[in-house]
Amino acid sequence: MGRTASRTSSYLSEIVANLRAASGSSLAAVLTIAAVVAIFGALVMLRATLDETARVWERLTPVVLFLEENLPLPEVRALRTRLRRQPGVLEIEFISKEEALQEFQDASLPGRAAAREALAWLEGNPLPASLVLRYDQGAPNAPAARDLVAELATWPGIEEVATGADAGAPARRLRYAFGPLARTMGGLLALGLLVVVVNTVRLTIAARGEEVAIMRLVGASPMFIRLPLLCEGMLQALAGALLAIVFLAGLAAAWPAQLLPLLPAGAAPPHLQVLPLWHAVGLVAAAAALGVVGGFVAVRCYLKV
Amino acid sequence: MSEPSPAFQYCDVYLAGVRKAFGPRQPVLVEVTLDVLHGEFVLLTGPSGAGKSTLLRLLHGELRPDAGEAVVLGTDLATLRASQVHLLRRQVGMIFQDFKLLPRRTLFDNVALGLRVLGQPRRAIERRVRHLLHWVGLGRRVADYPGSLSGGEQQRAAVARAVAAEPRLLLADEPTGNLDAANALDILQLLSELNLRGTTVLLASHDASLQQHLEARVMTLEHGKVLGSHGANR
Ligand SMILES: Nc1ncnc2c1ncn2[C@@H]1O[C@H](COP(=O)(O)OP(=O)(O)OP(=O)(O)O)[C@@H](O)[C@H]1O
Ligand SMILES: [Mg+2]
Repeated sequence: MGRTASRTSSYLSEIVANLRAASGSSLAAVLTIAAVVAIFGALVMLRATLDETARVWERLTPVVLFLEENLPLPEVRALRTRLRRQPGVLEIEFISKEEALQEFQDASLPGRAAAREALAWLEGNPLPASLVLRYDQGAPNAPAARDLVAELATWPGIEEVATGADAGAPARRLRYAFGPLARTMGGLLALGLLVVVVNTVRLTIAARGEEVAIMRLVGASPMFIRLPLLCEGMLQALAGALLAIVFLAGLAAAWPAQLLPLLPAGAAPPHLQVLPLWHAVGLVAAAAALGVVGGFVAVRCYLKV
Repeated sequence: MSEPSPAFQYCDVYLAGVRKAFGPRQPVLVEVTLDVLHGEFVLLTGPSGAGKSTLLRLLHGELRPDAGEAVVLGTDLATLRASQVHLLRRQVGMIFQDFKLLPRRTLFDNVALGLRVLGQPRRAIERRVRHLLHWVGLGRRVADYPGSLSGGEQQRAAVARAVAAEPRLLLADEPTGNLDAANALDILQLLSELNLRGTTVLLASHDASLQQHLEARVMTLEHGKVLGSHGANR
């Protein structure tokens, strides 16, 4: 036991000697690794955010209530107030005939061009005004909301009820397009981290080459020389990854307040996901493992013992 | 690997027909045959460039013989694996011709090195190192760096480091190389003292006159061979 303790302490002082020998490059390595891991973590966060955004938007799928032609505004207002009081309704939005036309003309989906032309032949504006109702399909009172939607067609003033398009689709499409990109980036970042570690450990070996040779001459085992170098690679990666996690956590905390105003006005806010704990732990562990591998490669290629 | 013959039991060093060349050049050691018995003090002399350092480095596991038989403390050097060399070195102390002290470590750390690589407890190392530095007359210089020491002081520090782990065999390469007569005598005194306490000593020096101050068997290395062996054969 005492022997193990003293052996451990001499290994530890070797690690310290290593870190000191190339402290400048160690610090640079830690910061570079932090940047690399932060980028990767941001990608993971972005992906989780797209997922969550798609899910929430899916749940908030709108129900469009087309109104009777020429329904007077006070009645529209009364209808709106009545709807808002119903259980489960989250949001209710009025779209006038003019707005509907405007939106139709703005939308540049394929097939619309022909429709737009046909519209131009018609006199005036054939599009009806509507109320758009949103409810949360995941909420406990969703059944009540669904019942409401079912009977809305019989309400006075409402011409027709249409369940809107899948609002989650754009976010989901983005997320699928994002997958291969994230994987490629992840691979490149891992490679970058490996190169950084190999290089700093190589610098340490160069800085301590003579010392290490003399230690061998007085009876140091190859393991006594190698293990601290492997640990150095791991410690750098570990420190860098932890730094990155702290940065990302800070970013996530500051996001709503700092970044929301930067979004274009009227854009639906994405549902930012903080890096889940087990993702963060996995990221740190993966970085540390890459650190060990980097140390191993450097020791293999550059250390002569 | 053949079983070592029983004669090895009494030999700390056994060389038979050892040959060593660097590259395609004329071999430095042509056919060296010698033995050093356990507890002996052997002085190996020979002109500069005769191959004394080469021979000692070979015994220390730094170089491998090209041919011949070489056994140190029962270890066959021809088959010794690189990953096992440290086990031999923990029993064979070496005073290097160029000291090989670590310039960025204090005297204390330099001497402690050989004990730290063994994983000895901190307390024990502290006690042993202070004792050794006191013994070689450097008790007041523990915290100094090698660069601030004179040549003779560095040489004495090298002696302290070489014997720190109580090796069974001590190889001393020109340990009096750049010392004045009085300092040289001091070092010889230290080595004799160690030898009296049971350490086998093999001292290499171009200065054959050292034998006047030593009770040692003298061997001469010349033209790649050990020529003579005479003197105290205890
Ligand atoms: N690593 C090496 N590569 C090539 N030649 C070497 C090497 N080491 C030693 N030699 C050569 O071997 C010969 C013997 O060198 P060595 O250092 O063993 O001599 P020495 O007897 O110790 O001399 P000195 O008394 O000057 O220390 C020299 O000619 C030297 O140039
Ligand atoms: Mg020499």
